[in-house]
Amino acid sequence: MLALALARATLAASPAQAQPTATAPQVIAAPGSGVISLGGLAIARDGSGGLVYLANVSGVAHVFVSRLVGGVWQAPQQVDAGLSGPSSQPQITGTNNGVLSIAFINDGALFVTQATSTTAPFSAPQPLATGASNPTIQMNTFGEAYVAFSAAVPGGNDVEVYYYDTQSWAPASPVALNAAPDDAGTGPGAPSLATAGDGVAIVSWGEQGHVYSRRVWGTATSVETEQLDPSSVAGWGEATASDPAASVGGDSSYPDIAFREDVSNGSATQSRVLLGRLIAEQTQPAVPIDGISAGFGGAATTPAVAMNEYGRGFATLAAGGTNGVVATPLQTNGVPGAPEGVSSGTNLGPPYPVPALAGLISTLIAWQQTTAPGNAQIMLRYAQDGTDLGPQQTMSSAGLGPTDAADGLAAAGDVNGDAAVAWVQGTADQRSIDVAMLYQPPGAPAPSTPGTSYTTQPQAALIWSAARESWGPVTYTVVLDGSQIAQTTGTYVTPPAPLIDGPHMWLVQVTNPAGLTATSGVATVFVDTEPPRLRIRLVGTPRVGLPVDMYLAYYDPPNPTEPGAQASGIASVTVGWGRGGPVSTVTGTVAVHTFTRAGLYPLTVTATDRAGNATRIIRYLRILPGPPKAKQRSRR
Amino acid sequence: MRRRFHGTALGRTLAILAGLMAGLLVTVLPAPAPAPAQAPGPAYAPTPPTKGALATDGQDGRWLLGGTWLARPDPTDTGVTSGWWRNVSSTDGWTAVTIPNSYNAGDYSAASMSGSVEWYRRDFTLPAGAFSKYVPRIAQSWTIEFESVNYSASVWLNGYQLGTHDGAYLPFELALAHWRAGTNRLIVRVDDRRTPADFPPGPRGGWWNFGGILDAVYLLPVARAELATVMIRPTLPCPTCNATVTEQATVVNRSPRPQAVALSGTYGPVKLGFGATTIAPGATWSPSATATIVHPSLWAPGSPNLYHATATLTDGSGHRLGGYTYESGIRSIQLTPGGQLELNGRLLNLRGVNLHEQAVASGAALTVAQQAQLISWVQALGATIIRAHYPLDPELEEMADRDGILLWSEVPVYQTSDKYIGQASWQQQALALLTANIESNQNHPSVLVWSIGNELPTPPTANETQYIAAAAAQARSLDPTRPVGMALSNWPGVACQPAYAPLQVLGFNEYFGWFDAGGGTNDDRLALSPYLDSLHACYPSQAIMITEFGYGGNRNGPVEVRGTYQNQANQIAFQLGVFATKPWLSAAVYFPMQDFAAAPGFDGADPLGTPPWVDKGVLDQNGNQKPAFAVMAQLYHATQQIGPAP
Repeated sequence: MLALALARATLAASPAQAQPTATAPQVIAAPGSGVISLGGLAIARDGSGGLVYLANVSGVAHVFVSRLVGGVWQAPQQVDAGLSGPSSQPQITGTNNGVLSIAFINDGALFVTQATSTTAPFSAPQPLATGASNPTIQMNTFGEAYVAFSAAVPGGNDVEVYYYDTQSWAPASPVALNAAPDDAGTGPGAPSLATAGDGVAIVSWGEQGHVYSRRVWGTATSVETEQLDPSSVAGWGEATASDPAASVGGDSSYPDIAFREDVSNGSATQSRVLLGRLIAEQTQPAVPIDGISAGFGGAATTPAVAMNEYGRGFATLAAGGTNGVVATPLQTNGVPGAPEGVSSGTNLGPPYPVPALAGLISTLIAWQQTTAPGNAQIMLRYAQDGTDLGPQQTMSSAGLGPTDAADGLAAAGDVNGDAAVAWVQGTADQRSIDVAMLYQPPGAPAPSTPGTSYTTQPQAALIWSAARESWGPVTYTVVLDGSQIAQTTGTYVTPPAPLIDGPHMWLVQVTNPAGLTATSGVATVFVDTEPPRLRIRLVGTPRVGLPVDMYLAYYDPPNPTEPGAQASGIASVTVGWGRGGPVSTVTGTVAVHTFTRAGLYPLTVTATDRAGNATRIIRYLRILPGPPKAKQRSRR
Repeated sequence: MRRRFHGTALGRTLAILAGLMAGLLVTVLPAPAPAPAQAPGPAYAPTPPTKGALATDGQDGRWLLGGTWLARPDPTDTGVTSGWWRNVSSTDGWTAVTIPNSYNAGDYSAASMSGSVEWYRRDFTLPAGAFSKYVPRIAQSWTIEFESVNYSASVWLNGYQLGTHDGAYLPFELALAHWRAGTNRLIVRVDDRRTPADFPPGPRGGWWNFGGILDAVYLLPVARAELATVMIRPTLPCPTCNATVTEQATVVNRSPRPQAVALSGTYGPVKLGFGATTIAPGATWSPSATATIVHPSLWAPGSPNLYHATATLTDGSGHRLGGYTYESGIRSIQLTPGGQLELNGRLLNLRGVNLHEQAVASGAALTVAQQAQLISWVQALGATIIRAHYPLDPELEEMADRDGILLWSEVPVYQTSDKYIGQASWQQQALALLTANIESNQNHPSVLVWSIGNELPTPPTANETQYIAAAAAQARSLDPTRPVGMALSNWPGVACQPAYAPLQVLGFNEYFGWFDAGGGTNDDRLALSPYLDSLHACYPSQAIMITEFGYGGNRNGPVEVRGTYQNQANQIAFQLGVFATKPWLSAAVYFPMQDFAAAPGFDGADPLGTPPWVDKGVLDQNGNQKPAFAVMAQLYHATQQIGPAP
């Protein structure tokens, strides 16, 4: 009953947090393009990624991918070209720089294909195993990936694993995770795989009514298998366990596995969702996370888990009967908190909840809400701080028809907290793949020279650093002396007209596709086109061993042709005493030098203003030999 | 030379003005509070010190103040006001202990880590015959030297305060004013409550805060003048060149009359003449001497050739007043333009271990046998360099000299908040600590690098940048023959840091696949190799060492699971495999050799750890070898750690 209560609870009121801005849904695969289902969505920390879906081509199901490059969804491309049989169950994963890996079933065989960068094409599909089904694939940030699947073998099915070391795939050893062939990994026992940041994978699967997990490190399968399902829950005996969903953060010591366990008291059955935790090689007792009190009705299904780098996130489930969404916040290392209701309002159909991550902190939960027959839409709540979910918002557009989360609903985000949600929408042959994107504000650009920069050029380029924004394109608006002078996608502009000598303040504001902005600090460009004035006078005897005094007069005048012009001021005055002699910097009005050798010396005096305008005087000075030395007279 | 640092000016002033000051201190100290009833103490009789020293390098004629001491906890810190420093014969409230002693050894509570106050007492008689007959009574004096007291020490003799000292890992000495014939009563108040601005900072820390008198205490008779220090600096222009040995001595006249003295020395077969002078009362004479060693036998791991060096101080009649003895080594340390360290012209690619001076039962108060055990393990592993977060005990450093093991010598400037680094007083103390370490330990041929600290903020703050520049300049000024380094916390994504430019050696602490350093950027060990390459690209002309890498292991289990012996061994082998592909690495130093107690609740990130133990050692806290020990030993022994002769 608590589940019901939770599901109906309106989320009053957590403190308002900044929420990302959602854009109108984009159609990735248009109605009429034969869309069958959405396989998945992957977004790396740097914002690159892609989504994969199935679409009919001449009546045969094939795998298509749309890549996300710089925040722009690319035109879908078929990645199972050349394979004749129908494809199914496409899964996608990836990491930074557009690295993607896709697994799918074609004609009963498991294939994989990779793109090694945003610009690299997908490799030809590589067959890994025959008799395969239910693939699950995940890559960590560093490009290590695993794929697990159910493989038909003599005597039944095994759950098998292959490892991708960033270059090639190889089977784990032993390749089968279960002890002996049976129904492992089939039906509701489909495997779920999570790859930790440290490169260790946790695979969980259902087998003969139980849920197991086993780690794999590279191609080495662990010597230990853990059974997660308990024999009873709150006094009700276990009937069967299924639907495992695994997740893990950076440290493979702390995976969480949510699963469904049907329990019975002998006369009634109830479906529950439990959370099993591993701590290192120890299995913690699985605990209910559905908020249901045994025997009070209600049911929980569709478990899912998403954990961030530090094991924080959410485990979600669908509350039977109410079709509400219940989420259990996960604290560091996957420690479950108290379940809470996520959805509000009537839901006439299963919600298919999907938890997801957006960076190292933020989390989100998407689900489907059917408010009336034929009116299903995708909803979302976003937790900026990873815990406090923001308000419920509708992501899909009713104008595109009802959504169909049963055939695909996925969410993911980048390290900046941007996120995307993808789903199937429409009916019959008018189904489409749609995506809504949620944007965080961009980072502020910064002038290349903070504070004041000086230039001799009246139309010198104003340059700034690119704003942090994974998903562009962004537009920069440049304001100079209080007036907008340009909008550009580049990172510099040239003032449209020459600037008069003097200081000019400018800033740049960046705008991302969601209209969110960030503004740089104010910088000053000081134009000075007028060189300094300089005069010198030499005093003294130009003779070796005697000092020569140079008197200097200098100043930096404003440009006399521009009323109101200002000068940047003298930056330095130097005196070169010629023929390899020293170059001294003058701070006052007198410079003194004593020559040690006779000869003709070119004296070079340079006055330079802050903008770099220089005035130079070269004066030749002949130094005569010094007076004859007195002889040392010995004392007797 | 192992130079002793004097306590506060108070102590020195007292030493000189002892007679004039008699009684004054008693009046300035708080009046004693009424003493509560104390448990009867043990029977206790004064005994003389024992001639000789645990560490042979240093001044001749030291007397070890061992034997039975008394200790007394002061949990409420009322001992001063209760007058425990007074010259009272009763032993009520005291219990018998031996020195070295850590009063919270075996206590791993939070209160133990936070520190407390303990009092020590030693009743002794001065040995007859410590002075020759030609030294008149008025020219006789004593100093007392403490090798290590954690953290703050206040010292009284016969009810008079001699001085105070702060800091745990370097020796200090005080003039033994108010000594007398018959019973002398030494009282030491030790307070190991540390603040965040201390060295290392407290009250928490990276290793257990064992309070007490952690190493030997010596008495030194001073006849007329004290030969306080002798700096021995061999230089070797090229690996096949003759060596030049420069010695700089400090002689202090501690008597009230001018003293005519002469100083001479030997370095192996070569004699050194420092000359003679008359020193005014309280003045210092700093003579130097130089000698050439033809075709020297060089010191290096594998061939730790040592030269027996002596200095002898005599009076105007040629009578011996004191001496100094050292086992010195001749070697050169160079940094190549390509950023590699050379020892005697041979490129270094060292493998080593970090260690903590700790034992389960005795805490940080190690016996010489326990120290020898540490060295024995180091040798068994095939390690050629040792690093610790603090200067090692003098006995350990002597063992390193004798056994050909290099030392990364670091001051406990450890993980300090920028708030404190920015304080002028903190910087002054840190620089003073660095100076003290260099002046104390520079005669050890085993010292390879002077390290100015460990894991200050990353990226460096303006305050840290200032400290690095000042400390590096100071170290180079004091000892231009050795490079200056620092252990750094760093991870992928941290930009190249100009602030490190003053350092010749950059020690990077990396825990790929163990501690998260920054958003998971070092989660995966596959990223280690490119990360190392990025460091080399950042700092192409500075020597790079891995000053820490480590993995926990405290149980058998699956190889993929962190904290199992199998995982530990696998990770170590992997890391060493990566290091083997980086010939430009000057060293890789595992952290730590043996499990150690760190801080309450800290398990070192082992998912099944047992706080406060950090179980990354290849030996457990009881000295049992883990499987990783053999793996490390095999790989260390198989590594050519010192390149061929040029």
